[in-house]
Amino acid sequence: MTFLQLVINGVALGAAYALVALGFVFIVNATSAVNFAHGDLVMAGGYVAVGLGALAPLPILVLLPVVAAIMFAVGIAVALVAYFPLANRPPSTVFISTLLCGIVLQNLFLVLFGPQARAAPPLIKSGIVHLGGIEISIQALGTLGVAAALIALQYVVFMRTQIGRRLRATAQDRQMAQAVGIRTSAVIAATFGFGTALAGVAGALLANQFFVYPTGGISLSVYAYIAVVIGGWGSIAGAVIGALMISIFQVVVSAYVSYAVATGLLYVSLLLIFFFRPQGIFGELVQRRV
Amino acid sequence: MNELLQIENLTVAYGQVLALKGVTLTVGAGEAVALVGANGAGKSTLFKSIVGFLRPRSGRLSFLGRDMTGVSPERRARSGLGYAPEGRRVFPGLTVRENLEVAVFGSKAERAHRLDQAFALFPQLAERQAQLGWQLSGGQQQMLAIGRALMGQPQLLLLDEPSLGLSPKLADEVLAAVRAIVRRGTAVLLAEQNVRKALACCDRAYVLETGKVALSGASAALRGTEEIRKAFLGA
Amino acid sequence: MASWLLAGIRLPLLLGAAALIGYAVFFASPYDLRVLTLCGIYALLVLGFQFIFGHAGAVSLSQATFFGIGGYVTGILATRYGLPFLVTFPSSIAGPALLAVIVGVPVLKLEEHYFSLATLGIGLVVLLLAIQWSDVTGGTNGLAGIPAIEIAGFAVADRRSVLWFVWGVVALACLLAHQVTRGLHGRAYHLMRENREAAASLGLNVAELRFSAFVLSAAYGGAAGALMAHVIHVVSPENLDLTLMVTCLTMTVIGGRTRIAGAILGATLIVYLREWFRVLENYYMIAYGTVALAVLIAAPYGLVGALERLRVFLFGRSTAKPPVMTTGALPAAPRQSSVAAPTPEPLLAVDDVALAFGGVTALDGVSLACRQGEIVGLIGPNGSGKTTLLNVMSGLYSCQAGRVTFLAHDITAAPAYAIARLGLARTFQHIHLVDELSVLDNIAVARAGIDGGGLLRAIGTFGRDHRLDAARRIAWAAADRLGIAAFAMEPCGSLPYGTRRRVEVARAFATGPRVILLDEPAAGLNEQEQIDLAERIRSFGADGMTVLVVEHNLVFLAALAQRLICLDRGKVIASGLPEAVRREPAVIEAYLGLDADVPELALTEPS
Repeated sequence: MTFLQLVINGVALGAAYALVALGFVFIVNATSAVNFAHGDLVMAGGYVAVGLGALAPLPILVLLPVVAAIMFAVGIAVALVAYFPLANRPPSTVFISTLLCGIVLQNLFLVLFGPQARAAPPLIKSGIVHLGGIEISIQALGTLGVAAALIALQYVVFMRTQIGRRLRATAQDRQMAQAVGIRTSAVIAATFGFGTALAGVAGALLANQFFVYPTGGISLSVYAYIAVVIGGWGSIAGAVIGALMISIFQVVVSAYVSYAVATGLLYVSLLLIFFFRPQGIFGELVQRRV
Repeated sequence: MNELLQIENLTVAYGQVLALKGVTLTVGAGEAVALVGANGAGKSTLFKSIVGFLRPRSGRLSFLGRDMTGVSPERRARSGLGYAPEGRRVFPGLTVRENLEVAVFGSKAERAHRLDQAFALFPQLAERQAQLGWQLSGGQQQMLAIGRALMGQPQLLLLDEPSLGLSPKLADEVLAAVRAIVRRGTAVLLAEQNVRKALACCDRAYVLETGKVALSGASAALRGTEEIRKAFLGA
Repeated sequence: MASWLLAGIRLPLLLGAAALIGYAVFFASPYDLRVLTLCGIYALLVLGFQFIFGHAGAVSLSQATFFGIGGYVTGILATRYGLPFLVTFPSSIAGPALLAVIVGVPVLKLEEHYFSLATLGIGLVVLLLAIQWSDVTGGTNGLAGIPAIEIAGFAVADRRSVLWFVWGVVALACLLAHQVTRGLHGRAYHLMRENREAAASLGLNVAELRFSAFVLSAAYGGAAGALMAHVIHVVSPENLDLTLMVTCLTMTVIGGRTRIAGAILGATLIVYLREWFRVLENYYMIAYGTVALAVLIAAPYGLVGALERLRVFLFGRSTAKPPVMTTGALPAAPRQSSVAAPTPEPLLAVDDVALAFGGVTALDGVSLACRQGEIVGLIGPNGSGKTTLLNVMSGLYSCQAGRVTFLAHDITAAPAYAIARLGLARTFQHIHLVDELSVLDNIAVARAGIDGGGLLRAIGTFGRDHRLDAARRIAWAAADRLGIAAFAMEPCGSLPYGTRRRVEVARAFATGPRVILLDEPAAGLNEQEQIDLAERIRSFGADGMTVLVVEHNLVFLAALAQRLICLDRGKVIASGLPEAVRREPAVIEAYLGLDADVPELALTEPS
């Protein structure tokens, strides 16, 4: 495989990871809560796609809005269970509650779908396309398209609509958002909803090529966490770029060494970044001396 | 005289500390009222209680004739209460324009109309529409905070220490807007450490001292009195 | 003895323990014995986790990794090299501890989230190694055939013996944990998690405390992992993974983050919860996760905390006797200078210090000096930089230009705890006390950084803790100087604000400082309390202590300060005798906004 081919593959994977990271960073921004069940919610989206695909054998592209809607509701449910009751406690408590939600989800998948990996129907159809010496699967192209469209949609909603402005205002200063009349609890619930919907869509996109299985979410949560840290805590663009960097790194490096070693190198690189730049690649250094 | 804001015997505590001890004050339509006092006197605490961030231990707080006990800050804001807090607190990652737009709950046309009004009051903001909140200077942020608070077309504006951290000249510019705001139909309750400037732009004043109203009356009567000096420099 | 038993929830816990022991001895089947043994192993794991997560307050995600490494070290050394238990067990403790030492220093510098992620990253790397390095670790299947524990020819093979052995180790571990967290050392941890700045300003080396907690947690984790390997005779990557980490977290949060009883309770409960829910077959993990979540929401201090609250609710708070006799001559807290007259050189000097935060200039070339025995007031309007200046002096902020000198040492770049140990104490605008501890203990913490002696001393102290007694005696003296000796045994959470402020001042005073910086000490006090506090501060000055008081309340300062310095927008605009400074036009302008020229406003004495 040429280097370019590898990069293209990495970008295709990265598109899905970017959606995962995007949903994750939304929630981090609005609530300072690290939702460690996020990867499991991605799997949930994949499973919903699997289930819907069994019910109605349509290409996933058509079913995506349904997946998104269902996952939006799931996101609000997670907020009601794992976030709002614990909003006044130290942030580590929310971290733990999301971990526990993750465990419940993983075992729910196990019970409902069994331990074997499942595949969702393809986005449009299976097959490979050749573009000037580069091979790319239709699934990957479709994933890129959907991800690009969603990222663009997110950008438009966030930057050009009142809802988006209110979401950002709530994330930046919750009290002042209240003081200008914004219903911040509803906004936060909606943020969880949107973040989870994105996770769900990512899951539906990934489920065809990469399969879903009950414990598949853990590594995705970790990747989202890493992407947000690399990109600078809270930066949306940073999260997307971070996700792309992770996926390209993984794909390219694992062509030369085993997948496991590539993953290991990824974590080691992360640790090295921490030690030399504790604020992430794009973040700002906090002036603490204690 | 229709009272917009009526506070009776308000007591507010932070844990064990009594920050406000039986404060009574009113603000009527068309008035500019000053709340002066040294730091720690309780001005910001009073404002936070009016806005709804703090729950009073006892006493009554009514706005537009309605008792505000248990009413969330969002609802108070939407019913006509504007708040420009101490330290400005503009949304740092939103542009000047977005800071103003986010505070409007109405149609796009309504939004555009109110934006024009805000820019008419503070032309400096119009010049900097696309700048992000954190990029503005202290004085510009103060104008933005006030403009944002006015976007909801409130009946009453709470202005908390606008001159803080500003040079005297800039403070004067900002406070000159108070008169214009009142003329446009929004009453103002202004909290200030700087007594002279506060008395210069307001008709009435309350002097707050360690959580109690020590003195109140028309600005002209209070200006230069012994009591005012004592309240500040302990002479 | 009776009062010891009846205090807190000791009696129910001991009864419960006795019941379990009775059950184990008389009624338990071999399967039950195995379950109880697992409870012990997990209790050990959680005990270790409590050091870093509970006491140091840092969410480490490496605990399962340390557990796994301990298991693998035992597995590898025992199965491949045939080494005996007396070699493999200490190695299983040393291995993870060594890893903690190596990664601890860089990792503990990271902020909250990054710290958690870094510890997670380390865990994931080790997990990958365990799976991939199959020559050594046996890959995904792990290592089997790990022998039973054998010490000097005696095999600990049958389930009953294993049970007693494991719980024997747990008992020792509990004792060690008790030693580490009793006394000054434990109270230092408590203050540190309450507020790091307050801890550092009392001379506590926060980095060292966190580091030692981290290494201890690794050692305990390794021991638990080794025991697990001997009990189930197998070690595999499952011993390292995130699921185990979540289990450990759950047990800790549910049992109680800092209570030894909580570790045992949490571990036992979760292990049994799994057993009971096993009946639900596939649904048991879902049920277990849901129950854990419910407990997390309902009992923020864990079950031990909830039980204690219940006890207080039912029976009222038990009154504790004063732990130490306080008669006799008490050592005076401040180290008194042998020089009778104040020395001319300044003890504390700030030279042209500048600091800006993100575009806002907080300090713009500030210079000032304090001589011995002086009481200096620092005034200025809101936002003028007073607290920022205190933070620079006490080492919490780094200035970007200028120098700070204290007792002829250049402390510009010195860490806060070192500055405190040199003899510079301070208080804060927002009081940070440990509500659960008594007044006496809150003040006594001040001695932990000064002459506490650290971790090893704490462990080696058995029976009467003389260091704690000495600290408490000094604390008593300090409390007496501040007039709060009557409240010595009261928990700080129940005290009125004025008293809490005096506790905080007493705490700073108890470090025996040469210079003390007070940040708005009169805020929130009523008139009587202000007069009282002013008098007490004056008495410190009379003893030779140098005091710098930041205040807005000029009436309070008038009674106190020999000299006033006024800041405005990061610059010194006036300095000198109080009456003169209060008449300075620039000062009047800054505070009142009144022009000096206007005749009606000249500050002549009232007729």
